[in-house]
Amino acid sequence: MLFHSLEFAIFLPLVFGLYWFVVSRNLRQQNLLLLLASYVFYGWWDWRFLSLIIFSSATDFVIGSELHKSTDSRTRKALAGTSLLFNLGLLGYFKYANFFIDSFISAFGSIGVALEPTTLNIILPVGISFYTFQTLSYTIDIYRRKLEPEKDPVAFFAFVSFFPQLVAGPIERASNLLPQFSKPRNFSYDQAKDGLRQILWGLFKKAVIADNCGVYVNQIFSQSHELEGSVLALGVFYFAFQVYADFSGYSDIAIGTARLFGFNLLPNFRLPFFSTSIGEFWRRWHISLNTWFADYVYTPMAIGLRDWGLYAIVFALFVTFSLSGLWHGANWTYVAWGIVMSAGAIFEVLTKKRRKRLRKKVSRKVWNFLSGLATFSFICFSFIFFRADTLGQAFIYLGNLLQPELLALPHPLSLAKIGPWMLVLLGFEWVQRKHLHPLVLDRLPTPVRWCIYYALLYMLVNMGTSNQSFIYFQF
Amino acid sequence: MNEAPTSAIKQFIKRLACFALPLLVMPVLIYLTDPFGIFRTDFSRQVIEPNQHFAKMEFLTQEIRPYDSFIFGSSKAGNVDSRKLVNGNFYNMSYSMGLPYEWYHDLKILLEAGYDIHQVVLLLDERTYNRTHQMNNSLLRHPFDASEMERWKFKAKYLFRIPNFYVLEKALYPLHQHDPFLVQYDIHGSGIPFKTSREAWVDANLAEHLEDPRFSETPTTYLPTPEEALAYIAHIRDLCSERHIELTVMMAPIHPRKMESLKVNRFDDFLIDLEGVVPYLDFSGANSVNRDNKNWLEQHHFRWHVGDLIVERLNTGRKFKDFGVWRGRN
Repeated sequence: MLFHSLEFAIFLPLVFGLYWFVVSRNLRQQNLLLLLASYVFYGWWDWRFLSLIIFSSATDFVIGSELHKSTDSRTRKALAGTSLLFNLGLLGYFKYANFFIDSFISAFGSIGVALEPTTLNIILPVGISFYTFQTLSYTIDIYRRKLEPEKDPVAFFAFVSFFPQLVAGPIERASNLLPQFSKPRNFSYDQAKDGLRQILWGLFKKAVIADNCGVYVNQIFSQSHELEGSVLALGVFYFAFQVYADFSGYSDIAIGTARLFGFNLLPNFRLPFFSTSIGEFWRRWHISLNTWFADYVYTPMAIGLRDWGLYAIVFALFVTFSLSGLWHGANWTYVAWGIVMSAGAIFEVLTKKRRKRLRKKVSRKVWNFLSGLATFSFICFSFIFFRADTLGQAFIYLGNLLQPELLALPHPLSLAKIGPWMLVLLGFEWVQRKHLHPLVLDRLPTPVRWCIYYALLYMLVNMGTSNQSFIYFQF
Repeated sequence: MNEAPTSAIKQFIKRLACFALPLLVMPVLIYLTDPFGIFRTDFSRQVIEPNQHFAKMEFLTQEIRPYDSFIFGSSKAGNVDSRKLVNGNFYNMSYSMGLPYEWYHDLKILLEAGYDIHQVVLLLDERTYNRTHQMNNSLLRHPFDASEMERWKFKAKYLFRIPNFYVLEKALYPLHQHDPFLVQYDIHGSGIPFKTSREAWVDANLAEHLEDPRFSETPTTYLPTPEEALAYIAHIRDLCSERHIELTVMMAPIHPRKMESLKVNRFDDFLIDLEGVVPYLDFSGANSVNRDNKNWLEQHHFRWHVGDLIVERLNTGRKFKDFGVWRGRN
């Protein structure tokens, strides 16, 4: 079920009404309702894959409980290993099996050994990358004795499948979300009102900005072999905005929806395009995934290899970003994107002292502007790999981009129509940066606020394109 | 134990209802004015162009109408009076910015509905190669879906999709204002627009018309997206061949000023690629008809008498001067 679909527009008020009017007195019933609603939400796409979530939830519920009981370190390691193997195995089979088979066949083919092409007929279950990482963090945190296991299966199953963030995050930590299922939830007027406003902002970003940018991006990338550099630059620029508005829009809708039911999810984006370094960008972009990788991959690896000195950080960055790239999709383009990102991050680590010296020589504003521009350009450059269908297409795109025409005025001019709305998005988010989302406008009189909401709704229904899926659904 | 719902939630619902009230007035207004003719059964009082695609397909699929041939195209195809075509009982499926992707799906819907189709005529134009079906999602062009459920969903969304102020103003005062250039559409008849008063005005004010600054405007250019068009023209060709339907493909006349900008965007390449898909009758070249502004309403739409030359060509095969050449046919 898509957030910006008619089905969801019926589903959400229905669940909201049942939740606050029918089962509001009983926490367990509320959790049960959320669990059932989440399964309906997910099953709307393909009910067969519900079994996968149920199986995954059951496995980690049992393992979590056993991990907590056990004091024997061998048993604990075996249990944690089983959870890792199970979750990553699930992800590996459904998401990466064909990718690895194809890559092996290509690798053998390149050394002259021809293998029979075999492709498994596997459908990628929506959201599998998100909920497996969520359940993994639960088990690892219990293993590290940072978290108590959940005793109520209904609460745990509802935590894994919580519909606002089930298919595209934010990837919630059990330590943040799970306790909320055990505490009484009473309706808060302010929280629900603000949740609705955040949903509206998310829908605006998705339907008005992302989907309209997407129309141009698809055209430009499909003809990258014959377009001039300036149009290709515009294509990458639009894609950066498309992916940002699409995914941060989804996160806003997810967070806003959760707030309607009395839950607080972690923020997932904080003005990433205003970052002045790659490191800062990754602390502001897809925060829930990047903190996951930081906590469970980068930090343990950098600490484990600390004897290597600076090389430990370089190696850990390379591995973490490559894995993060692969997490996004079973394609070498994503791995290449991760490697490009790691190169940027490693460059920053290696040049930290020199940049610090240089920074002292120029004014703070000039430095921030230039480093912000350089960071944004680098991010756009890396997105060529993220968006391209194949590595070949990415290199052709790059080759055609870096031509003298790069500095010419993009032709045709009709491509620039969506530009002003992207500036509105950035400007509004910047002005309201101190708030949870830009529609926190409580200082304004009610009629003005309502006019802004109506204007957004107007744009939503009139400028929004058809029901395009969210980009991150495929991950 | 949680607390029972308090006054907070009641206050929330009340406030939400107040906010939504104006939004609920809008669907009623949209339904009553029905600017794009989605609910309309009588188009004689239609003030602005209806969503012809939706309205025509709904009309055709409600029951089997007495047509055995169809002409598909953008609004330009509306200026081809298909009633004058002698080799079949034609319905004119023209609508604003129609595209091969949609024609293919429409054709399949019509065949599945039980139409015994003998002839299909496609009138392509420059929109064919620089638009994709995803761009046709406005109220004026939202396509018709075979599934009943999808049609209901579109109608429900339509009620909440607010037209711009120009459209609303026109829709609200249909009877009081007289638009001298009003176009009306014979949706429940031949499918063509009724001959417009604009045509009569041009005849009476030819000198003024020829000075119309629109003829010298530089047209907006778009990125070419020929792949979808070529693929779906090929699908239509295959479908027609499979169902023994006679297919005629034509490229519409194109104003020379527009042709200049199209050449920059590789329109010529598209014409060459099209030859590889299907032979077609090309009226787009720099022929004597296209060069004369007397034959144009503006840069986009040729006049009815030019449509008659196309009809004549289809009926008799006779070529008017240098107007229209076959491409891709030995």
